[in-house]
Amino acid sequence: MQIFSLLSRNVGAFKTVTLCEQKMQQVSLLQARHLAVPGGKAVFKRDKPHLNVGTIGHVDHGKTTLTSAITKVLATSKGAKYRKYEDIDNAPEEKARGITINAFHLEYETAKRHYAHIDCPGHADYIKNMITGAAQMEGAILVVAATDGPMPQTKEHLLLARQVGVPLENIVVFMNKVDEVPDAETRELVEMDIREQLNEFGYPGDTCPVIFGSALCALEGKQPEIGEEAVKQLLDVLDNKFVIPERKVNEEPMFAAEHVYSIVGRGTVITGKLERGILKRGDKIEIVGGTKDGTTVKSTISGLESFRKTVDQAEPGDQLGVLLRGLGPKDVRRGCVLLPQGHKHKVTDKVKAQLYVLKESEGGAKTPIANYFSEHVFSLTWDSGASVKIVGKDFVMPGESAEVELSLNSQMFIEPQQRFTIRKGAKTIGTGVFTDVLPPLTNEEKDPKSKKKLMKAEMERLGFNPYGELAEKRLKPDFSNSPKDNPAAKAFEGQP
Amino acid sequence: MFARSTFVRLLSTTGRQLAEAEKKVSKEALMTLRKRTGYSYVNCRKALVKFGENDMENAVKWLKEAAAKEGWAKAAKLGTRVTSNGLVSVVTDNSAAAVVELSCETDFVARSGAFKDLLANISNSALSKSKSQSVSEGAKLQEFNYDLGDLTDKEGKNMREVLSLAIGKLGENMAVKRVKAYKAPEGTTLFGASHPKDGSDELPMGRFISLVALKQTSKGSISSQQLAGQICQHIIGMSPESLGEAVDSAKSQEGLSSQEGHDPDADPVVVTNIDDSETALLRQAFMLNPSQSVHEYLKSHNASVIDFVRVELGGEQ
Repeated sequence: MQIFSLLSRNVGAFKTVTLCEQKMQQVSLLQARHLAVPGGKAVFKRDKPHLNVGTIGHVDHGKTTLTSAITKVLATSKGAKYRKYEDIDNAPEEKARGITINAFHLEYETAKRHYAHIDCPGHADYIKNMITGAAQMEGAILVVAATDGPMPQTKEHLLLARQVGVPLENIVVFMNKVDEVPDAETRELVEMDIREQLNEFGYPGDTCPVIFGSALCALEGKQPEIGEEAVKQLLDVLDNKFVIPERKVNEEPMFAAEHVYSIVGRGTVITGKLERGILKRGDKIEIVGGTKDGTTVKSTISGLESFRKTVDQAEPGDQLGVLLRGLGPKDVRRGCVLLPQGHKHKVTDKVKAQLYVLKESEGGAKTPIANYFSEHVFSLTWDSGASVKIVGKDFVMPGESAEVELSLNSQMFIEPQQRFTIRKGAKTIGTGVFTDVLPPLTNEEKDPKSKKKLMKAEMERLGFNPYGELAEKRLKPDFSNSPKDNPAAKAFEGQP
Repeated sequence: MFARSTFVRLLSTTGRQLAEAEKKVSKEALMTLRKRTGYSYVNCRKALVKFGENDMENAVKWLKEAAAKEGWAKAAKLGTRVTSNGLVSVVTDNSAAAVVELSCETDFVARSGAFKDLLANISNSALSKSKSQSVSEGAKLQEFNYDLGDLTDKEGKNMREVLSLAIGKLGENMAVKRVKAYKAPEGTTLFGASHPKDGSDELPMGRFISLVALKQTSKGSISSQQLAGQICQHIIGMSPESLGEAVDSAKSQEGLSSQEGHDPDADPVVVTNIDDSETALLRQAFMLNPSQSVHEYLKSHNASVIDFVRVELGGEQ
């Protein structure tokens, strides 16, 4: 059948696979998703709820000591591998060379939950890790030395926690070094002080758990009441007070088209990977995205194939060819997304995102991305031109991150937390994550007349034309303040 | 490293615990003193034990002395730790300017008000010192290097002492990497800007700063302040290495180019393209509108740049 040969173009390597081999391929594919390097490693068991936690606090207040102590206490119940202070506080020589250390990752588990733990190195480093997907903090352990009390920069630590959306319930204070503060009054005051600061940042300071202890004692096995016990208390808070953010598992099928082929007399075949959900023959579906006005096309799946075999039911991760009934070659293109009819998704061409601009040493460009730049955005299987509006800054230097608003050329399938890259030629110059889907550009916003008005106002405000050649000569901004032979006009000479 | 810190901690605790744990200090007094001075609880308690609760004045005085001593000790103790974060500031007053780079260990501290206040303090002090600086005639910016020890704050306190006090308070190593003053040639005005904008309008600070000496013959369509701000942004973004010579017949800059997406049948996508190989300011494509050169843009506003300075945190001197 023709459809088979089309698929085999896509997956040429498996041209002659038997059914058995195909099954094996699927098995190894499944495993590959769990293991970074297949073979030889323990399989990660997902039998406990998972939470990403992090330590924040002043450099000398004992974050690393506490982290080490947690692994030591849990190592006795086989919930962690004991990490020495030196192992966590790794690569001092790299620090000396001024290389940014990425957040140190470690994992441990209690009887109840599984944790990924990061030590937050700095504000900018954390934000970068969050955008690139390398680290996440859903619960925060604020480490404060009882000797010093909160420091001026404690405010900044809390601000970060707030900014990255650590839930209000998921903060605990570990008051460290209490072995050095013998009197109860001082402890009480430090506690009052930190509670006050928590309240200031909108965290429930009055009810937030504050644990007094000494990470050093826990590590050295001294004074168990403030050592090991305190660490256990802390873990108890993590287990029982911290909430696990609702991880929305969207079960609705989603399939992004990579290639589109039309077969005379049969319809159109789209190939790609089923991202999630289940597809069956006869399912009623809708093709969304890739159009200027958000129009969609409806159809029915008349055939499903994987590796040249007919499939009754496709599952997440399957490489598929989907035969759609009654669609012409213009109805669907690469980047379109197949959804079941009755879905709630709204395509858009306007979206808020967090963007990290890569440094030259990371393979990025030397130059920054400035306001009004036109960039080429890639996400899922779609790509589109986009105009960048930067929130709160005029430009983003390589190595920096910023919140941006992107206006795309076409309406696309975008969900919050979906990732994208910005490429220029062969280079990836930026990477980011969509955060808020905004309503599509209104007709008024798109209306050439009102657009021109806005652009003109912007040009007069700035003193130059940020829209480049795209701005039409007809705009004729009114630089009435300038001398008679308007020098600004020269800027527009020679433009089409 | 771990062993050393354990050792230090053991040394500092044992003696104190025995002598002071017995003495009671009221919570209210301790709270008042902490709020008033911001010094650590342990020290506030020591001061109250020493002077009693009714002698706040002496307690505060003693705390300040102790803080100075501890500041020096802390500065010496933390002195070897790497300071790769921080801020650079630029402050201008017509024809004089000061550029200060202050570094610390984490960007949390660099974002804090106490750190910014310290940087502002050093910057203003350097600017006021530069005003009494004698200048020789010249067409370019003149640069002066100051030593931190030569500067004093408004109350006449030496800046080294101010720095060590801040180190004691913030508990991180800090270093002043540069203190420079600049004088503009006759007829030009100095403007400074920073990126990101972590300071105030009067005293910009960020990871990058730039300073331009601008000459404007007649008023353009926007204020010279705004124009200079845009040129400063360009200098930070495009990092020119020299001023370069202006060419009137500049090679035409495209500013935009098109590239193909995934779908070869679709229209190519138009992207902003900026030539990053040119290192002379006047010949560079203007970052905010790459279809013009910087020279062309300045000319359209009757302005010219005589000289400029660009500083990046942790960059070369």
